[in-house]
Amino acid sequence: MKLLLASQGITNKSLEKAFFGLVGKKSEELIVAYVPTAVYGASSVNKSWMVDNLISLRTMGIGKIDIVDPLAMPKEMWMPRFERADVIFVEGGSPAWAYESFEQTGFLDVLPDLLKSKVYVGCSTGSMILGEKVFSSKKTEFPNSTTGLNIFSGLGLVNFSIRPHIYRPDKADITLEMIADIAKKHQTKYYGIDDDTAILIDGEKFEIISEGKWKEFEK
Amino acid sequence: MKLLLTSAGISNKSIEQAFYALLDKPVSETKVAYIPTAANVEMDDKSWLINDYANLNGRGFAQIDIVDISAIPQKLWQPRLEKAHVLFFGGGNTFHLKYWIEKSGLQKHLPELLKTRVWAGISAGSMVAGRSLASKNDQIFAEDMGEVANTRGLGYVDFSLKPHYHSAYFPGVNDENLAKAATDLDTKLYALDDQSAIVVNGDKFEVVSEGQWKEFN
Repeated sequence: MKLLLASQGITNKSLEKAFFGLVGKKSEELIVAYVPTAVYGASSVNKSWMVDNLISLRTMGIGKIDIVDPLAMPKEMWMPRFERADVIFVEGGSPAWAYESFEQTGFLDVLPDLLKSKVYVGCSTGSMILGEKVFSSKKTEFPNSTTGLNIFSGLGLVNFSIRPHIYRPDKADITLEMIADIAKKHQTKYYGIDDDTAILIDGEKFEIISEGKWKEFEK
Repeated sequence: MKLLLTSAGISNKSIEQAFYALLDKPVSETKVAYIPTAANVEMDDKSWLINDYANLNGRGFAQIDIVDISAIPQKLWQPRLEKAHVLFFGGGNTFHLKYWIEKSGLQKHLPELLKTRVWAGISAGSMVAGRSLASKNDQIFAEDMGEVANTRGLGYVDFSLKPHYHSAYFPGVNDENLAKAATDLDTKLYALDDQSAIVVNGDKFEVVSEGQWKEFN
């Protein structure tokens, strides 16, 4: 499996280099299938992170960028578009919405098989859902909810869990103490990564690529 | 009703000025909801959609929400569209967009929403507001109609329009095909190139262009 699990996206040169190292193709030959599902389910009304990541993919000179939401079309239509792609790029947004949608559409069933030959890039939610546990603050998921965490099991394609956006002021409601606590309580190793960091998996290889900060939380 | 019907978005200063003049507030206080639904059935590269997002993103709007009415339930899309001042309908397949405007339930709410909001369209998002999406034997775009049984548009304006006039990407949008299509229509037909837009503000109608456009019928 080849995975690049990022917090915000391919936000710096080190991450870009790691990405091209994983795909092993020239940018103009690459086909990326970009999955916006989590964005559409996010209660936040400003979706600039989606536009920023699409612009950054375009700036990287990617040959073709398709945008495919399994929720918005039947499987006969989304499946060939993923099969054709070299990279499946799963954007951030609402983790609960994305996981449920991916489960319901059958995308989660076919993903392990697709990842035998394709590179997976996750941003935020897209990274979290591949781990053992996923959590986010309820108020980011449900506009009428005030406090508390929404915790559920992820796909578990990697044997750890990821918490993105650490040290970011607008995500300060999730503290490092909370991550440490969840790691112990749910018996999963956690990596807290900031927006300049990503975890790279290439077969047996595990590497943290960072121009920023990250922190490991033992289970 | 206030509508800005473009071929390729806010592609020049004249269209930008006309768009901003339709808004009740400064750009920095204006909230935009972009509806990308028409693009879902377009296979392959989406550079054009990314360009359209990028064009809006750089303008300093208070917010740009992206609301796919075919992907999320009404209880999610309705409050988000209500929060917006501009409903921006993006390009793609016109019939797919029409189908989902109807099926999602949005069509019932649009007349009310548009009392206080601006409709902005790009390509399919402009055509769908018109009277007819395609005439009989109209091969101009030869769009797959999917499950849509007729070629009626929403009819918020009393004409029909075809974007991408003279565009190298759409060789079908030529004078000969347009004249033929127009004979089958009981409405005026406007062909707009990528530097042109139609602005409707109540009873006021204006073509804003730094390029070419043509009226048929």
